[in-house]
Amino acid sequence: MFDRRGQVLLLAIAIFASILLFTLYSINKSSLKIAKYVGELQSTMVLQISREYVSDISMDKNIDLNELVNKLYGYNTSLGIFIGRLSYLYYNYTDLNIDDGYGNYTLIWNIVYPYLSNKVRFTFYWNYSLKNYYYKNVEGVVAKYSNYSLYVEHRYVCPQFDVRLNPCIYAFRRNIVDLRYIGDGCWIVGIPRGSIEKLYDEFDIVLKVGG
Amino acid sequence: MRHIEGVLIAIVYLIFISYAYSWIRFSFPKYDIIEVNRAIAYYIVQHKYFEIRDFVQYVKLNPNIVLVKVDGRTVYSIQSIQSYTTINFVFLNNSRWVEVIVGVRS
Repeated sequence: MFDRRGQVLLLAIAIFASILLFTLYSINKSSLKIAKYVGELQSTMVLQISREYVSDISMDKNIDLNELVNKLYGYNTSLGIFIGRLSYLYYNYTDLNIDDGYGNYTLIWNIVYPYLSNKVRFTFYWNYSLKNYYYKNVEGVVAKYSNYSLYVEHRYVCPQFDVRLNPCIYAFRRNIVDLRYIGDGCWIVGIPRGSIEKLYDEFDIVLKVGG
Repeated sequence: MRHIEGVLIAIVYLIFISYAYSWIRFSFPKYDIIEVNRAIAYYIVQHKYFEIRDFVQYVKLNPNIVLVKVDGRTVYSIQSIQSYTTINFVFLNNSRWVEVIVGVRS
C-alpha cells in the first residue's frame, strides 16, 4: 500500500502518537479526581440515617428526619457525596397480643438523580408467638411465665443489594426476662405472663413483646 | 501523492483511536471504585458506630486503598501516593456526623 517513505512516516506518526498519549497519561496521573459513581454508597447513607431515625423514634426521642436530609444535602456541596433529591414515606405499626404479635418500622425513599431514580427501603420487623408456659422463682415469688418464639430482622433494600440482617437482642430488665438465641434470627423469650417487655437490638432499636 | 493520502488516513485513524482511548479511560469509573463502594456500603450496614481503627483495618484488606481521612484528619495512607480517586461519605455516629474520604488507587 505504502512505499518506503510512507511506511517510515507512518511509523514516525505512530511513535509520536504513542509518546503523546503516554505524556498526557503521565500529566493526568498527578491530578485528583472525584469519582462520579452513584451507587450503593449513596443508598447506604440514606439507609443508615433511616436506621438511626427508627432507633430514636423507637426510644421515644425527638428527631427531625427533614433536618437529617438537609444535612445530607449540605454535604453534597461541602464533601461531594453525590446524594440526589430525597423524598420519603415513613410508617410503623405494632399489634401486641398475649398470644402473638408483630411490629414494623419502615422508611421508603426515592432518590432522584438527573438521569435516574433509586428506590431505597429500610425495614425493622419482628413477630412473636406463644409457645408454652413455665413457672419461675423471682426473688422468692413464683411467677407464671409466657414462653414466646421471637423473630427479628433488619432489611436493607436498594437497586444494588437486598440485605437481611438478624441483630442481637438484649432485654432492658435482664433479671426478669429470659432470652435465648436459637438461630436464623429466632429467639426464645420468657416474660411474666400478662406483661409487655421492652427489648432492644444491637442498633438500639426497641421492640416490645407480650400483651 | 499516493503515500500522502495513506498518511493522512493514518493520522485521522490515530486521532480517532486517541480520542476513543481517552474517553474510555476517563469516562467510566474503574471496577475498583465500584468494589470499594460496595465494601464500604456493607460496612455501614453492619455497624451501628463508626470506629476509625476498625474501619481502617477493614478497608486495608483492599490493596487499592491508599488513603483514609476522617473529619479532615489523615488516619491511613500509604507511603507513595501517586494518583487516586476519592470516595466520600458521611456516617451518622451517635447523633454526630463523621466525614470520611477514602482514596482508591487510579
